Amino acid sequence: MQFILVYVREAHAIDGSRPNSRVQIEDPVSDFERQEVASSCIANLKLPMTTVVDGVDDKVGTAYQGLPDRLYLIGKDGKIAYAGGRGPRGFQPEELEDSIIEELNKIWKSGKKAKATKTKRNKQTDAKGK
Amino acid sequence: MRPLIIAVATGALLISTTVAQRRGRGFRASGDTWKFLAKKYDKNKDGEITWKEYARDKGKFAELDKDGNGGITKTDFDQGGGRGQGSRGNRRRGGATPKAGDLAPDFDLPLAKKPKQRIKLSSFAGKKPVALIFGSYT
Repeated sequence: MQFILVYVREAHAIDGSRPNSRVQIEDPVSDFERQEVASSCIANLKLPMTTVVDGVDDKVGTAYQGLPDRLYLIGKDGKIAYAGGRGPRGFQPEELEDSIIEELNKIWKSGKKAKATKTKRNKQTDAKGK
Repeated sequence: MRPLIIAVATGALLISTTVAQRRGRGFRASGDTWKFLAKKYDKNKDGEITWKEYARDKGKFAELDKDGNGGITKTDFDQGGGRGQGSRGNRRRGGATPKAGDLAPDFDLPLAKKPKQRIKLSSFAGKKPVALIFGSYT
């Protein structure tokens, strides 16, 4: 299981359309600036997750409609297993947790099945050998 | 595996609640925008931030200079609560939201801690599931 925080455009930059007076951050105008803001964010909030930073072109944020915040689970098969609603209202970690449990169960079961068929096959070859 | 999930879920919750808390107070405080900008850029303290003083990004300057008179002043933030018409935040970007069952749009982005190192989403396919948490400081 891998967790990745994708740092996207500021939702409430001080010089943006919906300024926030408590955390006063200017809207980054370059990838470098956003990188710096992201670093200070993970340091100050002590975020333990792997964090990647979207470019100021907001390419990834747009592709996933991830602004201002949103949750996803990508299955082992590379397909979206869970797509959360648009934050903040749609930001529901419990939903993500449920889908993670479901996905891991699926992987565990398919692993068990594969193992079972393997042992079965082995037994058959053993029997043939005898 | 279970404690890990719980730990991450609480982590994610932490971000969303801090975001929510911050939203509650001081939300749309356009007066603060002027105070912030004046303190940072109005070097000669004449109440106007010229392009020479700002010298950051032309597009952003034009956005903040709402009346378009060539300088950012307090009056640029008097009307409409700081919600500039050309403001990037207001522009809802087009495109459909990916849904369950879709192939995850791939990305290749730099790490926040080590910008020279990158992570490619598709490199996890067939190996393990990936939870993506989109968000920002504010």
